[in-house]
This record gives sequence, structure tokens and C-alpha cells, in this order.
Amino acid sequence: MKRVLVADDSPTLRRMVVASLSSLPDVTFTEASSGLEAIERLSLEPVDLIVLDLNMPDVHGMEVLRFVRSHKAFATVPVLILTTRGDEESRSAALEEGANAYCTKPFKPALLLQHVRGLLGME
Amino acid sequence: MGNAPFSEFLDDYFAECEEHLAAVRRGVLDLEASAGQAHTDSGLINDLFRRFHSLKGLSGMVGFEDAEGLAHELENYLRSLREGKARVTPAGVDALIVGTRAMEQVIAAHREGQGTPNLEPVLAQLRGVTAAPIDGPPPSSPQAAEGPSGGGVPLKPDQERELAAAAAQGRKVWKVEFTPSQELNARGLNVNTLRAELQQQGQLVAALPFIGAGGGVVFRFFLVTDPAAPPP
Repeated sequence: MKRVLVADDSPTLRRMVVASLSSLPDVTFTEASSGLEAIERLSLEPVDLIVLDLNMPDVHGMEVLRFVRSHKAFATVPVLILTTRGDEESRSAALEEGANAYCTKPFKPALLLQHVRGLLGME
Repeated sequence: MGNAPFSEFLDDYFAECEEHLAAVRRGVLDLEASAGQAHTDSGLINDLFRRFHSLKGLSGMVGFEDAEGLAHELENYLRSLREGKARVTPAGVDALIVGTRAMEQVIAAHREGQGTPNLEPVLAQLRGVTAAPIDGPPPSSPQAAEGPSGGGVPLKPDQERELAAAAAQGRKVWKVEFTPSQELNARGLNVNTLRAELQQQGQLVAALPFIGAGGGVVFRFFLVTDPAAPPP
């Protein structure tokens, strides 16, 4: 069973992401509403993929990404950034910090599903 | 409405928008009190920015491009304030008030299935305050830092200033460290509940993660209390 952590301060957005990915076999979802909560969830249970918003309260998504990549226990966990920031500078910065994929909102469910399948090795 | 993207989430969308708009209405009133001052409340500006950012993202997800576009302009003005490129002026606050009201009207129109209002005047008003040149030195509104690289997340400059100011005023500054565990979480003690508890006891200035000596995640909370308050 693979676990996907969905980190976004919007509960509606989190539900949309989970709904978009619900057809994935043998996958469970855990949610976080802030950067701190996302890091806490990572520390409590193994996670196979993080779908990470950038603009979150307390700790910004980029800070979460940097924290994840700097900690041995999480350094190799795939991170898919899901954000409204569609500019190339933000995309490049996230990829340079170690994000594995960068998707923008509004997203097409099929495209998100395709990205996640790839990152979970389900292609 | 049934053919809109994520149409099954429209009730969630309207409910969450109302929560954001209620917070925005309160926040804009607070911001109005600081109009024209040299120092702006970065926490308030950051919160307003994130709320408009969320409204933009959610509106885009359900296909309400007019609401998305309006939220984008509101977000842009807040970004300018956040980055010190604009001041909180009476004109800016007025634009926020008008923009928030327009946001409420657009969302209500979608909820009722009615025609949405013409947003061009309010969009122009928002673009005007966003682009308005500022007189004098930039206001001391620190950026919402995204943090330098490193294993832990550092305090932001405005957080450091706030803690220093509290200490200078004779208030107590506490550092509370919390190591999460499955056992504590099962007992209901986690970063969210601890944060809520600490906020009851004083002013929570920052909550940051770092990697402890044992290699695990630790959270450090920076709490300011009155001099006579007991330890948290």
C-alpha cells in the first residue's frame, strides 16, 4: 500500500486532489493543512509521495521542500508541487530545490493522475 | 453548473469562500486602521494575501474565471504590499473593500445561477493602486521569506524583530520544543493541538521545524507572554 500526503491549506482543494487520484489502486491518502503539519505527518509515518502546495500558512511550501530534501529520512520522497504560480521562475526554483514535478492550478485531473502514476512507479 | 469542472465540489467551494471572505472582511478593517503608517502588519498582509490566493485557486478549479481574475488582482495588490512596493493607503484600502465586495457579489451570482457583475471598474481600481508609485522610502513591510537553504527553517526577519521588541518591552519569550510521535498523536497531542494550546497562553510568534540531535523532527515554538504569566 502506498501513501500519498496531500498538503494544501484549502480543504476543498485537498478533496479535489484526492478525488482526482482515487482511482489509483492500493493507495491511501493522508492530508495536511499547513507546512508544519505536513512535516509532522512525514515524521510519523512513511510517505511515498507528497503533493505540496506552496502558499501555506506557517511554513511555506518551498521551505517544506528544502526541509524534506535536507533530511536523510525524507530526501528521496518524490515531491509534486501543485500551485497557482505558473511562472517559469517559480517552476525552475522548485525543480532546482529538488521537486520531481511541478503542476499548476487549475489542474486537469487526468494530467495530475498521470504525473502521480509516474512518480509512484505505476506506469 | 453540472458541467463545470469539479462541479461536485461546488458546495464545498461556496462554503470555503465564505470562510475566506469573512476573514478578509475582518482583516481589511484591521488594515484600514494602519493606512498611511510607516510600519505595516506583515502577518495581516500575509494572511490577506493567502486568502485571496486561495480564492483564486479555488475559483479557477471550478471554472469561475471572473472570480479567479478578480482574486488575482486582489492578490497582486497584497503581493505589492508584502514586497514593500506599495503602501497601505486610504485608496488601497478602498480598493480592497470594493474588490472584496465585488468578490462576494460574483460568488453569490454563481451560487444563485445569475449573471455576474461587470468587474472592469474594480479591476482597473485594483491595478491602479498596485501600480501607484510610493512616496518616500519603501514601507518596512518585510517579505514573506521563503527561507534560505539549510536543514532547519529559520526565523523570518519580522519574527526576529517581534521577539526582540517583546524582550525589550520586558515581556517573556519562551522557546517550547516538541518532538512528535505516534503515541503522542494518538493521545491528541500534535503540532496543531499544541499550537492552539500555546496560542491560548500568549502570542505565538513562530513555529519552526528543525532536525534534532537524534536525527528526528523537532518543532520549536516561540511564545511571548506577559512578565507575570506562568511557564507554558
